[in-house]
Amino acid sequence: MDESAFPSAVAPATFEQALLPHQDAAYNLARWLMRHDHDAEDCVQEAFLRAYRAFDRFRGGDGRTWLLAIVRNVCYSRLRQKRLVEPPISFDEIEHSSSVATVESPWAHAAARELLPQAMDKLPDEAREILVLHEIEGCAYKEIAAILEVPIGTVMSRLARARLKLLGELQLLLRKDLSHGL
Amino acid sequence: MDCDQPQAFRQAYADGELELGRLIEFEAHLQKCPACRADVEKIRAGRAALRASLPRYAAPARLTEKIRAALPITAQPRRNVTIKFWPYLGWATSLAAAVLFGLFIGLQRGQTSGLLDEALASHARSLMATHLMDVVSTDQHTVKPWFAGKTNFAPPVVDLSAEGFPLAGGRLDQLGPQPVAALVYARRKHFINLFVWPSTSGPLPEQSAETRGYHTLSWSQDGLNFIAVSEIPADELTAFVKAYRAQAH
Repeated sequence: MDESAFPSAVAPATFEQALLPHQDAAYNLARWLMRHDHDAEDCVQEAFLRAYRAFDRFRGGDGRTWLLAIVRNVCYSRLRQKRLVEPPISFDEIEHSSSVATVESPWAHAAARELLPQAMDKLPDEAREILVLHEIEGCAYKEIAAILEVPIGTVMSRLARARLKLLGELQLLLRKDLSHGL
Repeated sequence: MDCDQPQAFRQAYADGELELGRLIEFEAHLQKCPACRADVEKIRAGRAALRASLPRYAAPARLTEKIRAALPITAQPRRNVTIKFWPYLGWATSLAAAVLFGLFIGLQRGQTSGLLDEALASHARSLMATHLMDVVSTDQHTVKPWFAGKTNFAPPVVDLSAEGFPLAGGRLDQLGPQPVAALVYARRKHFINLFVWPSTSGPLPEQSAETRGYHTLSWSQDGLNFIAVSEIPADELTAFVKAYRAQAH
């Protein structure tokens, strides 16, 4: 028997069960945050390596939550390196005018669907990531709170504002789109 | 007054994320307020459109290969350790046992997860103001006979007020095609739905699960199947089930 075969066959087995099934979730989050295929792949690969090294600290439970928290950290440190000059403003601190709360629903327009990715692009990272976690990955508030390491109340208000902000951006794009069409 | 609830609150309601007390209050308000109902509908429609339109990027196959190829490299430090076969035999046996056990649970779960989901949905439905109880009574001698003419089995109705779970009432319900008795017990301001029906189509395995903050526990005893559902903490629900089983037996 190959001497090294046994331990590496035993240890990664649990790692594989707990984390490898969440590759798509990891890549999806990274892709939305990095907005670039190869950057996203690099981040996921690094996240898996970090997760593997830190796996003895994994206390069981939800592997997806644990992995996504790592993916997010890797993505943000890459983004910080890229944007040395512009430190991101926390989305929670941005003031929103009350008129945003009464934004008209854009979904009646057929173009809304096509413009959605562009509208997502215009959002701050914190707004985009919470929409990805909740609307695409279907994470509950509690899971998002664990991934972002913030209280549930923050998840609730950040998600609400992210949705309104997205609707607002979508409206602006629609208006431009319609005026171009004339 | 509830018309003043902020967007975040309304969205949390539409997401099914409000805690029970506020959920019940807001449901009661919605019954009376068409404007808020319309607003909630608008939020739901917007969320549905968003979910239908946002793409989920799938990990490319080459990424999977890269990850698999990269991982054993970090396992290298163990290489120089002398490996004796015998100590690992125990490990291998327990690993195999664990895998078999997992398979077993997985198979059983496949059969019962549908029922657990149904029980969960029914629990959530029952909390909508008026559907919780058909017979409202804290007295087991009122609740038990109420079921007598309505079901062809007798759900054990026991008094658990001393354990901190006073009886609140009961109702007839349905899990899948199965008519069931639902007993409602209270815990502080929360409720526990206990679904009971004859185990003619097979006993339920003992298992617990957590979904979106709700806990479910299932078991069988004396020819009846039971599923308990609540949003109270898991250890409290376990205590409830333990007390119920001891008295119902």
